[in-house]
Amino acid sequence: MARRTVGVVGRNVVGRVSAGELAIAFGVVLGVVLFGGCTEPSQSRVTFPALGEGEAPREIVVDAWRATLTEARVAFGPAYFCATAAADVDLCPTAVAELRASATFDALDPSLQMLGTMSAVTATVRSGMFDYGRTWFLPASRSAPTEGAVDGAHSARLRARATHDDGRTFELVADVDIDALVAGTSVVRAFRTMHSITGANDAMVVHVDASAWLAGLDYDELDALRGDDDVLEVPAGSHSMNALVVALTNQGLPTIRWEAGDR
Amino acid sequence: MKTTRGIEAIGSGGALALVLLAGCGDTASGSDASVGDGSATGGGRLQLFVQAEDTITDGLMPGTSEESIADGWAVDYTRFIATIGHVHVARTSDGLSLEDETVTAFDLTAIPETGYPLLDRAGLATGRWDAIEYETPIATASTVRHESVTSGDLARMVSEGCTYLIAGTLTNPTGESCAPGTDECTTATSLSFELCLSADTIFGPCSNPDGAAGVAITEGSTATGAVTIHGDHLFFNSFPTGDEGTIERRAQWLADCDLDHDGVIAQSELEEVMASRLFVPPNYSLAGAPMVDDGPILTALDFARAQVRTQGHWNGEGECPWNGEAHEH
Repeated sequence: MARRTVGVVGRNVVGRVSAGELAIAFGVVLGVVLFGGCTEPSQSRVTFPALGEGEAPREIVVDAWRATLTEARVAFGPAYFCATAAADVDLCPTAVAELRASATFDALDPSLQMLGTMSAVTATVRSGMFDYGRTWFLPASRSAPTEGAVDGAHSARLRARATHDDGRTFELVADVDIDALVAGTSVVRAFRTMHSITGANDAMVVHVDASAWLAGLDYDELDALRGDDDVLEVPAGSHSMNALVVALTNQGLPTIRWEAGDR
Repeated sequence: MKTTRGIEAIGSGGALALVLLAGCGDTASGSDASVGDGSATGGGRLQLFVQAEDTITDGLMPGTSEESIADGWAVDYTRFIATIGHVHVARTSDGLSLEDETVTAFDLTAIPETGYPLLDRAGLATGRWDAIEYETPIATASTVRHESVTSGDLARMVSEGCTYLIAGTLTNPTGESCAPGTDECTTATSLSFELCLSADTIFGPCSNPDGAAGVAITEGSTATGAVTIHGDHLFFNSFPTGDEGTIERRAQWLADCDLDHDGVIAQSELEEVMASRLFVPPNYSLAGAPMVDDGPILTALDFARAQVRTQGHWNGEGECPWNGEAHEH
């Protein structure tokens, strides 16, 4: 049987098909046309902005300690959004919207800040999964920072002034690294969010309340760790660092706000 | 895996065509389009059962294999009582559905090989009934007591507002119970626990282990399906939404909750322990956890309640998304 070569425009792919295969392909296309009336409208590819949004710092009170952020930079992405209700690797092998890169934004700035461009198809998003600037891609043996990580390395950098009622005061600095437990998975999975992507006028806004993350810190522990120093770098493995990881992954997750149409 | 995901796959001609064709849904092939009430003679029959993973009946052993406990503890359940019911089976292609409002409390440690009967309906229209949901609600006065459950246990579940009453022992010949977040440890080779957990959850729509949705009804035949409750999620180190192969099972967190070192892990002790003292990287992650009372995980008790909200499955390892939208009753 004679075979012809068919080039696929726009892709670096050249395949060989027989006339019979072409007939099958035609049948499939015809099927799409004929049965199109019983399906969702066909999907279109769109792009739209991903934006970060913070909150002005506010004082957090924990027992006799008061703490206020003076710096909060957070990395967000990569992020994948799915049509399924519980986005995870095997429940959402194909994203309907994604932010492939990561970017750092000022979580103390309530204005909208550009994170990157979402690539999507017009479809309904029901859940998402994302990293905080550190990703464990296969086949790497460990998680690594992406280009948009805070200072090229971290998931978040927080700086705060803590003051005790008795006058003790110190500054704490936390470089928070949040890594997936398992290769090929995202840090935060099955994140519930709902939106019907309709076109290029959409936007996704990641809103973070970083001040709330200070509520889980053990300030007595930190005060003991700093000794006579005025500035303490929160050590990895300390209860306070663990509390920050738990805050960013469960207790104080960002909220995702979708905007559609004319803005 | 992450390396395969992306939107490139969408739009590749043949696959797209198949997706679109599949979107038309299954078509009932039988002549009886009515929903069965158990008395009809046409169509097909559906029998549903409750099934327990063998981690409930046989316990979990320490080790490195899947479904072993990674940190040296063995787990034996003496009671694993679950309230299961509010079954909803539907065909999304034409809207046919059947409901069973019954909720029953079963002790899954005593379950026979054949499982416990849950639902039996005849006269169902043939075709694929692709939307199966069920609930593990909080026990109430209307909850039916299965013979495997004592009236005292059910009364306690009703009065305390529980979905699960889970009791058992942790054993480890070199075990210790450590004050959470510290290195202050006490020898503890055997610890008992009894947890009455509120975890009202809707599971579904359920898929079979091969990914097929629901159950297929054929003319004159009996189709079967099983609500499967897993017994190892309480010891998961993170929260599964799909393949559990990436999960480790760990029990040290529960051993560490014996704050008074009396050998009995009390529910009130779980309530006292902050989650950030126990569930810390690199051994644990709380990401992706179900909400507990519309809030995050703050305590060890919240962790336990969130984990048991993920343990409902279908036909063994088939997935039933939790936190699904409630269906109309």
